[in-house]
Amino acid sequence: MKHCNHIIRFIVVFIFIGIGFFAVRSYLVPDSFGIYGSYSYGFHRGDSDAEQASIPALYQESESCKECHEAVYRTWSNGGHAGVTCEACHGPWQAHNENTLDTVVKDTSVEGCMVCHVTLQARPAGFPQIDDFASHVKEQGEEVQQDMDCTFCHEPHEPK
Amino acid sequence: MNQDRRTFLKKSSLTLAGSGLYIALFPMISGASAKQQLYAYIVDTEKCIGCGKCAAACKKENKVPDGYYRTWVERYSIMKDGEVIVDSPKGAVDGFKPVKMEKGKIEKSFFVPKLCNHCASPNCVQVCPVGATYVTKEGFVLVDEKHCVGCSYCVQACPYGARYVDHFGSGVADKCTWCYHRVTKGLQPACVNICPSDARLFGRIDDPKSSVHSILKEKRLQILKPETGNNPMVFYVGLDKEVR
Amino acid sequence: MHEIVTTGFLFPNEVHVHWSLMIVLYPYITGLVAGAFIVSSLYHVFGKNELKPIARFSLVGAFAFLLFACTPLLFHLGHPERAFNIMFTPKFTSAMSGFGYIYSFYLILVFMEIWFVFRPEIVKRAQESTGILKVVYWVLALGSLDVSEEALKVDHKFIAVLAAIGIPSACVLHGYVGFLFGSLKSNPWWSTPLMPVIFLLSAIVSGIAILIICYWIIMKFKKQPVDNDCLHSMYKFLWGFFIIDLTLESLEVLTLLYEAHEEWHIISRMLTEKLWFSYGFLQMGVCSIVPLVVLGFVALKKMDVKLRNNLGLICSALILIQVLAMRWNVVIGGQLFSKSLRGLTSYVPTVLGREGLLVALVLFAMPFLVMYVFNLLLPIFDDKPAEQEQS
Repeated sequence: MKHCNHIIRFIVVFIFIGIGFFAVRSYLVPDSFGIYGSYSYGFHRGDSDAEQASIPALYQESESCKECHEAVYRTWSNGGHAGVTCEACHGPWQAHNENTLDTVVKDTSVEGCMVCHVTLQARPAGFPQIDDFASHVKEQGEEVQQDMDCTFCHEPHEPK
Repeated sequence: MNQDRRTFLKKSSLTLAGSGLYIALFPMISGASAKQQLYAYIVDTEKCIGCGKCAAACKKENKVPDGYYRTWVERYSIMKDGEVIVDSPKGAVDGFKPVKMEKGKIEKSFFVPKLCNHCASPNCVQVCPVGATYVTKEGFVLVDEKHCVGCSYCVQACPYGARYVDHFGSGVADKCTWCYHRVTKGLQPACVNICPSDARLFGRIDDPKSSVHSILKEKRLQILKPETGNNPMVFYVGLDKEVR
Repeated sequence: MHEIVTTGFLFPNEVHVHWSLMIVLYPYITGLVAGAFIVSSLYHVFGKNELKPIARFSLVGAFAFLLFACTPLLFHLGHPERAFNIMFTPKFTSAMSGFGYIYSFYLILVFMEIWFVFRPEIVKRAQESTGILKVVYWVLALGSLDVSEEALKVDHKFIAVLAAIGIPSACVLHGYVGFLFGSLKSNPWWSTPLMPVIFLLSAIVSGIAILIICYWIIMKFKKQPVDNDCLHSMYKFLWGFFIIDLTLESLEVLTLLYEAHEEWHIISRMLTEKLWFSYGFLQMGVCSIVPLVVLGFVALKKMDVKLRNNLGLICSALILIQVLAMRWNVVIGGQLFSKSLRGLTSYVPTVLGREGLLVALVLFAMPFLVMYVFNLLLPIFDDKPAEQEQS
C-alpha cells in the first residue's frame, strides 16, 4: 500500500464531491418530495396536489346564475335547452365580475345557433338540424327578412 | 486476522449490505398501493353533436396555449367504398363545418371526443425521469409544473396523444387534468359542464347518485387501445372499430 | 420555422415533433464515446497490441465527446436550469432517470483511466515546467509525484480494472438510450427488444470509424507515417461489427414487414414517403452496402497499403453517415407518423435557434477543440516510442 498515495488522494477528492452533492441536494429538493402510494406512480412533490387544487375555477356552472336570474332559470330548466348550460351560450360567469351585463355574451346570430344546429351527417339522427337558414325559413312558409335570425321564431331559453 | 474472524466479518457485512439495499429499495419493490381509481369519465359517442364547445371551454378554463389541446373532438366519416376520413379542425374548438361531399358518399359518420384517459397504470408516469408527473390518491394523473424539466419523454410515451410540451411557452409537460382544480371544489370538469348533449359524463364510481354510476353498471363499455395495458379510466359508449 | 406539412389525420398534439435534432445528436455523440472506449479496451483488456498507437487517443477522444454528451440534452430541455432534478429526484422506473448517474459514473471512470495513463507525463511536466503551468500540472497530479516502479505497477493494475469495468459501463451508457426507445410500447417503430443492441453495435461501429478518420488526419497533419497494422486491425473490427449491426437493423424492419401488424401500413408509408432518402438511400442503401462489400475486401484481401487506407477511409466516412442517418431515422421517424395510424407530419430542423443546425454543428465540433487543448497540455501521441514504458 506504500505507493498508493496518489490513489488515496484521488478517492478523497471524490468523497468530497459526493458529500457536496448530497449537501446541495438536501438544500434544493423540497421536503414534501416523497412516495405517496406506489413508487412507480406516486413518487412526486407532495405540495403539488394542493397547488393544483388551489387554481381558481373559471366557469361557475348554471346553478350560480339562479340567484339573480330566477325567472329565466326556471323557464330555461323546463324548456328544450335545459341540457345546455347557461355558460355554453353566455360564456363564463366570471365575465360578470365587474358587475356589468355588457361583458356577458348574448349572441343571437345565426352562426351562433348553427354551431350546434347545422346539419352534419355525423350528428345523431334525432337531433334537430337544418341545412341552412334561408331554406329552413322558406320551409316554414316564411319570408327571409332583413336582420332576421333564429330568435325571430325560437326563444333561446325555451326553443320549442 | 484469523480465518474465522475474516469469514464472519465478510458474511455479516454482506448481510448488512444486502438488508440495507433491500430496505432502501423496498418502496420501489413493494408497490404499496394507496392508488385508487375513485372517478370515472364516460364518453357517449352516440350523443356527441360535435359542437366543439367542450374544446373551447377547456381552452378558456385552463388557458391552453395555441396549437395544443387538452381535449378535442374527432369526426369519422366512413365512405361507402370503405375509406375512412378523420378530421379535427383546430381540435373542434370552433365546431365542425359540413364536409364538401357530404350527402351520398358517406356511409356512416360520428364524433369521438378525446382527452387524457387518466390511466390506472399510466406508462407516461412510468417514464418520467424526475417524478414530475404522477397519480394522485384519487386517481388523477397530474403534472408538477414546478418540477418538470420538459424532456418530453411522457409525450412520446402517451399512446393517446393527450400530452404536449409548449416549447415556446411554459416549457413543461401539460395535459388534461380532469379539471382537478374544479373537481376538488365540488364542480364538474369544464368540458363535462358545458356539454349540451350529455356526451361527456364524470363522477365518482362508488356514488349511486353520480351520472356515471348507472352507465357503468348497465352499458357495454370500451376503452381506447386496451392492448397497452395502461387501464384507462375514460370509458366509451359506442366506440366504433375504426377509432384508434 | 418551417411550415409543417401533414397528410392524413394526426392527433392535434402530434403535429409538432417534440424530439428534435438535439435528440438525434445525443445518441450519436454517446455512441462515439462507447465505440472509442471499446477500441481502447481492445488494447488494454483484450491485449490487441497492434492497437497500441491509437489506445491513448481513443481514450482522450472518448473523454472529449463525453464532456459534451449532455449538451444537446441541455439545449433540448424545456427547463435546463432544472436539469439536476434528474440526479436529485430520479425515478428509476424510467430509463431516462439512469442518465444522471450512469453518465457521471462513466465520466469519472474515463477521467480516472486517463489520469492513470497520463500520470507519468503529468508528473514529469509538474517537475519540469515553471510558472502557472507548473501549478496546473501539480494540481492535476494531486501533489503526488511518485512515479516509481511500484507506483506504476499499481497504476497498471488500476488501468486494467478500469478498462474492464468500463466495457459494461460503456454498454450501459449507450444501451440505456436504446432501451429508452425500445421499451416504449406506444411507439411501434421504436418498440423492439432489438433496439438497445442495435444502438450499441452502431455506436461501436461509429466509434471505430471516427477514430480511423481522426488518426489518419492527425498523422497527416503531423507529417508522420500511420501505423498500417493498427489501421488494418481497425478495418477488420469495423467490418465485423458492421455486419452484425446491419443484420440486426435489417432484421428489425423485415420482422415488421413480415408480421404486418396494423401499424405496418403507416410505418411503410413513413419510410417510403418521408424517409426514402435518409433510410432507403443512406442508412440501408449506399452507406451500408458499399462499406459492407468494400471493407470485406479491405479486411481480407491482400492489397497495396495506400489503396487499403484510401478505401478504408471512404468506408469509415460512409459508416459515420450511416450511423447518423440511423439515429435520425429512429428518433425523427418515430415521430413522423401518428399514433392514430392515419397520418404523417413533417420535420425540418431550423438553422438558427436553440435546437437548430448551427448549434448541432458547434456542439459536435467542440470535442475536437477539447482534444486539441488536451494535446497542448499533454501530448496524446507518443512521439518517442523507444523511451517510456507506456501502460
